[in-house]
Amino acid sequence: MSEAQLKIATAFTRAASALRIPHCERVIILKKAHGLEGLPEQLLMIKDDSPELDALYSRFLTELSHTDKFDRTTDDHAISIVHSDYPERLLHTDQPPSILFYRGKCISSLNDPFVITVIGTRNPSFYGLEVTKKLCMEFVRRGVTIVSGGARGIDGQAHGVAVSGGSATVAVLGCGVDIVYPREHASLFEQIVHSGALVSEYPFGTLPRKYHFPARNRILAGLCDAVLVTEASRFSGTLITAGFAADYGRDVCAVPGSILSGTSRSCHDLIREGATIVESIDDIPRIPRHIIYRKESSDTHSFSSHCNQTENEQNDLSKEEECILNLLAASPQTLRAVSEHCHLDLRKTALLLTTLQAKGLVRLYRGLYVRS
Amino acid sequence: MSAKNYHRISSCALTGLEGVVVEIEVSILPGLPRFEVTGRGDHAIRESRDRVRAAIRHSGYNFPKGRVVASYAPASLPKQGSAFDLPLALAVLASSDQVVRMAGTSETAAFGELSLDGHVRYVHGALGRLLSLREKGIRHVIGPSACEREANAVDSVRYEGVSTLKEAVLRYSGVSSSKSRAAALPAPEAAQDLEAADPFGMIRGQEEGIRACTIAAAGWHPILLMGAPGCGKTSLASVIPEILPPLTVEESLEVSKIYSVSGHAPRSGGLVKSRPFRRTHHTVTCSALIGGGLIPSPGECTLAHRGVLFLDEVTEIQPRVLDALREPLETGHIHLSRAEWNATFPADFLFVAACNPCRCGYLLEPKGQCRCDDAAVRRHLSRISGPLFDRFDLVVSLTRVDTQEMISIPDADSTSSIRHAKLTKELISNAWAVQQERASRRGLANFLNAKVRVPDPERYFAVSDKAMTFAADIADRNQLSVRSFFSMLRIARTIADLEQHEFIREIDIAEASHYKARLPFVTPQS
Repeated sequence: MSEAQLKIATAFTRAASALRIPHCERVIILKKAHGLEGLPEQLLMIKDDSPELDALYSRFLTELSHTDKFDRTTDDHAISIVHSDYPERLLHTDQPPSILFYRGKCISSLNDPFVITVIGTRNPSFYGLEVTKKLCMEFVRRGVTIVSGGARGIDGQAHGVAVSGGSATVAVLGCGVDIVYPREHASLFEQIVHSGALVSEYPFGTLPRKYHFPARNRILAGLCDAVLVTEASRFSGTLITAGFAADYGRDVCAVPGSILSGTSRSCHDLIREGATIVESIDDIPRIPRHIIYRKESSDTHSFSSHCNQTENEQNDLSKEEECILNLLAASPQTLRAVSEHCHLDLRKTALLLTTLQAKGLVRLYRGLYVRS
Repeated sequence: MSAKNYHRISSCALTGLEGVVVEIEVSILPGLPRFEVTGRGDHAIRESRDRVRAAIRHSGYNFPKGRVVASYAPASLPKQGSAFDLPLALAVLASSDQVVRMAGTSETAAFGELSLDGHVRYVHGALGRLLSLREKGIRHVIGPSACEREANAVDSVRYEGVSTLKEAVLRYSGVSSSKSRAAALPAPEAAQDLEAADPFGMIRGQEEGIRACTIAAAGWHPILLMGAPGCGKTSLASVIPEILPPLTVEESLEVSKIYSVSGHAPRSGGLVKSRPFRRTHHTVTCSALIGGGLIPSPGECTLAHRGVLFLDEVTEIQPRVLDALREPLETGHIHLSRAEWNATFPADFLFVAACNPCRCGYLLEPKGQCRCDDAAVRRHLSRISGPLFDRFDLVVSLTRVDTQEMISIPDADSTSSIRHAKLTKELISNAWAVQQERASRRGLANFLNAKVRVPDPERYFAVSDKAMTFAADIADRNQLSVRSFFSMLRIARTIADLEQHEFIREIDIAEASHYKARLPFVTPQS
């Protein structure tokens, strides 16, 4: 991707959004220009057709002179709707973004035979995180590309599992791809750039705004074959994504939760309205039943062997350690609860938990011990 | 000593925790009847003219005619309070020849407040005044009889308690009291009914908290109790002074002096016998906590010297105020500098803090009622700065006791709980003895594990090789700072001391590491 094209894309998107030119009209202009290279001439040619287009052209020129402000890396790209790499699934939605900006090696994984979008609350319970982790690990093992929103909570968990499994994952952001939002995801985003891509319809340097996110959700829904909601309480923003997905004919899937905590209310609402109930990934309609082999399969292999290793380690555990692990698998616990359940004294329990932490089988989650 | 129309007498003023000897001179000059006081006194001192005049009249003496001038030296020192009433009255009477001192009497100092009818009232700081007067070589002091028990603790000073100005005049002229000093005093020892009280009686469940408090008491480790509202943080904290070993005689004198000077002396008089337990509201200001003021006065930190400073709702305290605690926590004293004065206050306290783990308070509850997101939790806990958090050797997460446990405990034999408390106290004082012995081999003054400063903690704390690798492992995994790592070793040492083990073993390290858990919102990347 040449820098000139990136500049043209940035300037065009900025000018068009400043003048509130809808995506469908931008698509028409781009199609006539046959891509980003021909865009300046095309704009010059049509500028006399209407006062709006004339304004667009002059705005385009001023924006073009301002585009040197942002630091670009070699991973930064812009791709227009006429490009062959443009995600095909997006074309079959209303209002596909005319230009997608992304940071990463490539986004060809978005044209894989099966792509899943995993979304959920930004404020997950332990259950939600564990569910997301379990299901995403299954996706990774099967080689399915995971798309999510790069937000805190479930989104971050989904990306994190995909990244640690060496699988491609795509984060669709509500800001420019050079802006790290939320800030604590800086290292996660860096890892995503290595194995997948950060995608946004907003040009470089765009700050996150509240109204960007519902628009971002239509891309999330458009990029995939199925949307999976792992945890969402009532009035969650994930419902917007699920609504788009239903409009575009994607499968909407939801994981049920506890009726006591109220953290899965929206999931239950979706199921009530006809979403597919998911216990394992094979419940998702149209999911490939075999492993999709890809170039990164060596990484995937090491990931699964790592999983086997943890299972093997479990075999030479003492009875007490097993008792602790069984308890912690169900829910996070305090030291005292563990010692009471396993009939051990506090000191012994502390020692066992510390050794289990050393083995990587137990970790701390928000001050409580959990199975890792 | 007394020339015609002139008399000089010593007394003592208080600044900070120290007494300063003040000389009061009275001179009667010819002129219109007037009574003047000079020497940087406050309102109370200026008003003392009227009290002295009335007290002299009501005691049957005459107030001298003419111009009476009183001067307080050193004149540069700001003086406050009503303790100069008695010496002023004595000096006025002596300068007008209504008191005649016997020849050869030693120098005598006096302090006390006068009432209008000539009674001598209690003033605070008797202990501090006597100690500094003794330093200046004054061996005879007249003061309020209400201060007698407090004064009793200072030996080699003859203290004569008086209840009226008349009596004071007699003593000052050299007539000793007919009743012997010992007989005048009731037996000072208050009945030690602490033995019978059950410190753990208020606590239901919370073995983990009791254990942590025991460790904190045994090694003087700063402790942070974190838990849901109503889980018993405050009851746990108030147990700590009860299970600490009692004050030694020197410590008791040290604490009594602070209390006496700051006006917090026990109502019964006498010395402070139990370890101080100070708690403040979370709106506490910086100078209330560490000391300050126009005239240096000690803060809560100093009042908690040799005892427990308990800060409840520590996340609600202004961060700036909290961070002021970092210096005393490290050094054990506070050095304050203002334009007018410098003061150093002792502040060797056991720091106990309590807070909710998040805004709603239910973060650590396993049932997961907490709906605070990570950012909210971080915001809540960031009120405790990183460096201060680092100084808590023990961070304990407490959960609420379930109802079953709550109602089942009263059925249990209460004597077993008392026995348990007694056992804990014994364990702790044994642990202190072990630490003292270890420190004396090295010649260290601060013997408690949290306060020991040695260049080779590994050797001093006797960590076995296996335990050391184990500890290093944990430090790597949890990314502990150097300070946290050594504080983990300190706790492990205290645990081993409680068990009377010479070497630190893996199990001690494991337990210690449990109390070094990182902030609850930090989730390691999976």
